[in-house]
Amino acid sequence: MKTVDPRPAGLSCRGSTRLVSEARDRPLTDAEAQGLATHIRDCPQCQVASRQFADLFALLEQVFARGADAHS
Amino acid sequence: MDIEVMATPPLDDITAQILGDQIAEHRDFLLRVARLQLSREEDALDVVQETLAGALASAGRFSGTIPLRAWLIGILRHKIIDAIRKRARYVQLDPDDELNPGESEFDRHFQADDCWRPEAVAHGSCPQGVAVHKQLLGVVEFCVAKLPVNTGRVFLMREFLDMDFDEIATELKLTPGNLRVLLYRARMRLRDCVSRGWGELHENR
Repeated sequence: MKTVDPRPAGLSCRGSTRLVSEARDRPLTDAEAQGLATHIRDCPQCQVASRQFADLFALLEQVFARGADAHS
Repeated sequence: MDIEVMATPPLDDITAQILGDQIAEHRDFLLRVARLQLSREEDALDVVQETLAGALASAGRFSGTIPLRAWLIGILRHKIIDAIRKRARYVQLDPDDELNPGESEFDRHFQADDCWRPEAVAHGSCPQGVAVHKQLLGVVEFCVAKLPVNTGRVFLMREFLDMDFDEIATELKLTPGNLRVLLYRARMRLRDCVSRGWGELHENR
């Protein structure tokens, strides 16, 4: 593992999309999770985008029937 | 006593026939999923055949508490993972497909300071409701199928087969950085494609 990514104190929208993606593959560090939450709270566009990602991931789980509540 | 025995009857011929027909109805979907994952058509056909045969052989264990498709996909998932592990040398990335690990294709979504351009998130969120639900699942399937071959394969190894990030990197001889970018690109492209799709669903209502 490489050392902690020195992300700028203020996360950009682009940086926050990277974290949203990486959160699917590994647990975010506390600092990353905190930075992401703060950015999303203050950024209307990222609120929309993160909602879209969440909807996308939920639909993917249904398409691939990941859960017992998947469609038949 | 008799009633208890009857509560779990052996699968009779008629039930087996009905279940067999239902299982066959899902074959096309299973094949589409397998093709996305396995580069060789014969491998895709093999795993689907094994899945259907396995499902029929163990039909008595299908409890009906989860949807039939979910049960079949669970079997398919294991068959594909087996195929990938057994025939690792066949699961190669396609050198003709894009492998450039950059993310410049998303530059148009962001302004100079890396903030979203408003139009990039213009389609709002996913429409709700039973009526559009099936269409939404179709949109997602379409968008996954539209991913470039390598991007789609890597994405499904992670999101569908649930293989570990490090195992995928090792299996495909990718650096963690390249794998991270490939997965990022897949998710960004899917968000684009799917949100455009549900934008249309909003308009058509």
